[in-house]
Amino acid sequence: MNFIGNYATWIEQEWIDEILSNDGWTVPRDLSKDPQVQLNEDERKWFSSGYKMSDHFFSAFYKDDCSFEITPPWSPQSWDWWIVKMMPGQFIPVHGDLAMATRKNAKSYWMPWQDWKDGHIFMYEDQTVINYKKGDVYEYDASIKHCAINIGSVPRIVLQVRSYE
Amino acid sequence: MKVIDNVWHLIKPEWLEYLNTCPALQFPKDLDLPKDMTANTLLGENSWELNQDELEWYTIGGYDPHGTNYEGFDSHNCPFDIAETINFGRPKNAGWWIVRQHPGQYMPWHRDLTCANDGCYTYWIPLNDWEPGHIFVYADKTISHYKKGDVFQFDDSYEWHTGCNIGYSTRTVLQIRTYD
Repeated sequence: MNFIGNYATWIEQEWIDEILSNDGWTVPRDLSKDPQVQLNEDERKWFSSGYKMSDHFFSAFYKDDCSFEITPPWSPQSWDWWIVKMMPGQFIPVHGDLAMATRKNAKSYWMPWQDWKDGHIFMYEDQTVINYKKGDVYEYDASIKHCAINIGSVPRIVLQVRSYE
Repeated sequence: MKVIDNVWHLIKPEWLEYLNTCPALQFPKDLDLPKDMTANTLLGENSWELNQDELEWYTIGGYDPHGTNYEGFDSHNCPFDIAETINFGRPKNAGWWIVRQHPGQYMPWHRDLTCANDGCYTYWIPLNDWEPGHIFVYADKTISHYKKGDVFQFDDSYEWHTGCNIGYSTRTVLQIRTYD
């Protein structure tokens, strides 16, 4: 995880309020609504390990789910973005973003929209990322195994950005 | 939190067979918690009492008091007593329990508030080698790359910690607590 900088002042409170008050996509349950979605090898392994496609791991918000537009201030390239909301008890099982390995000069960024809270866990390789601040931006290799869980007492909101050449 | 020993040679195959195959208590489902989670309550015939951290799981965190977050074994639902074999020199003052977590199960962030007295020692012993997605966090430390049977001694039995399984296989952990 490579710290890029802090952009807390760029985050609008109304964005946070909108995410907290809406449902977004229920992942993985709603994936069946999109015929374009293809599970990668790690994701298929979730469901052979006992996770259920009908579960609600977390809520995802894409461009079409939000009234605001995201233009990451740290990246001059083309990008995709989505926001992950995890309520207490929600998680994303261990995985690597395997498609990243085939994208030319793809970069992945992780930006929490809150200061770190007890029980908010992002595990990258073999370590958890803690004591971060709202708006911190980390670049990371998304093809390396990672996972996240909220076993705290308040919702956890993270912006994910992928940039490409 | 430090590794002080490895006791894998003391773990009996018949214990593992039982732990891998037999039903366990489902937590919190089997506690039969009341719908009203606004007061600390003596619960059912087992007289379970939630401590402050556990109460807040439901009253603040919104966790489902009738779901299964993890499974548990102790001397009440096992045909063996692990403390007879593993007791760290305190055979008369040792208690044990086992947490089994299938993929997607977890224990919310908490302290073991009932053991906050002097002379209490807590030992954490994984019964599987570490794998990605098997998470144990103690204070601000992540414990990874452990081997089955490793003995981690808590620096402070009262410290915040959690264990989660968002990996691909079942995670089973033995905890032993001794008292002077």
